[in-house]
Amino acid sequence: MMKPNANTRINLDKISVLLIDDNQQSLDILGQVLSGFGVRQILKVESAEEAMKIVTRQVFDFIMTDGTMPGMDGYEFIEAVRRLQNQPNAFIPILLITGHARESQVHKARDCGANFVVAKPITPKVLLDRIFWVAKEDRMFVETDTYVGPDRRFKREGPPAGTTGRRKEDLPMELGQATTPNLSQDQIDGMMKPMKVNL
Amino acid sequence: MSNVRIFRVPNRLREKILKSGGPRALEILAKADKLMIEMRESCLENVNKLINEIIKEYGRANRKGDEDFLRLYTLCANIIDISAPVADLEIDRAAFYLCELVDRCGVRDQWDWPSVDVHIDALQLLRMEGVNLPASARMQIFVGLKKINDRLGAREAADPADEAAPPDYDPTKVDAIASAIDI
Repeated sequence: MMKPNANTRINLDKISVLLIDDNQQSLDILGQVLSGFGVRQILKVESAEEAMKIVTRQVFDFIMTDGTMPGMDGYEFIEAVRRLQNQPNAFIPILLITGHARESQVHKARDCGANFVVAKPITPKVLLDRIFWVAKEDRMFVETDTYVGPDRRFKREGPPAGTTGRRKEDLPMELGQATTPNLSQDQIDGMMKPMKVNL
Repeated sequence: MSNVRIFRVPNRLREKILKSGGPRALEILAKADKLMIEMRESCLENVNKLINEIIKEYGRANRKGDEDFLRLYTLCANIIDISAPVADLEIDRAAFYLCELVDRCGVRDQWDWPSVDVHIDALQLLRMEGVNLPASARMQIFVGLKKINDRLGAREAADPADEAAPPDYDPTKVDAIASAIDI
């Protein structure tokens, strides 16, 4: 995945960003960082319900939302945005920001249609990397009855050859074939030897 | 069978970001760091308030024993939310471990107070000592918190169905961790 290097020139002054977080101070931190990046159009809202009304009437280039919020949470918000009909914001890059994520929430984040998940506390470096990633990424969009969002199959191996549903972009299956002998059970056990922890 | 549509979407962000010109990444990162650090004092003030609330409601001296799991989880999550400008103090790491602990306690519907106490002590210590805390002591704190977390995780893995089982920790061992990190 590409990262900007120190001398990469990045033009963020023309982009418009929608920030959603129920914690006012957290919202201010995100706003400060984006201001430092040179973003001029930043709209900050404290609830996903309010953000939902805004995305139906104003076009953005990028959305960042907190995951856990009272009422409609960030995951539900992203799902709802992806289901918007005839709306440019439906395909917009969306970053989900999370503090402590339970395992179930990690699965939810993957399946709600977010482009990436960023852990709090955020750092400007990580945030810039992620913005750069979503700007450069070339993932196809997938729309099914149960999911709308960026293609979650990163490797793009697709379904097996000869079955329906393979796309011309899918990687050839040979790429995934082993080039070395399988590990013996002893070798595997050696790598995963259980360790007793004494408190 | 469900209908599947796979298609390419326009990326306005890419079009705008990659226009020629603009400052270098190094410059915008320095500016963002500077603006974020301007929020340090106000964030620290609120982190203090949150830690004080945790002590007031969940500390040894004040608790009744039937405290709400979600309330403590939310207080810790709020610390993580606002810790970016004070990330060097690593209070958010202790708050993260306490979130993990509360989650596990919530699943079992049973508080593990000795472990909660160790986490609260760690939060206090990290806040009070701040950047003056030696790296070795800081590392010991997180090793201690991780051990508690791993131990509880191992217990869940070994006995996932028995939610009503009494805790099998030895409080003296938890105390030993606390004394090992000199709380």
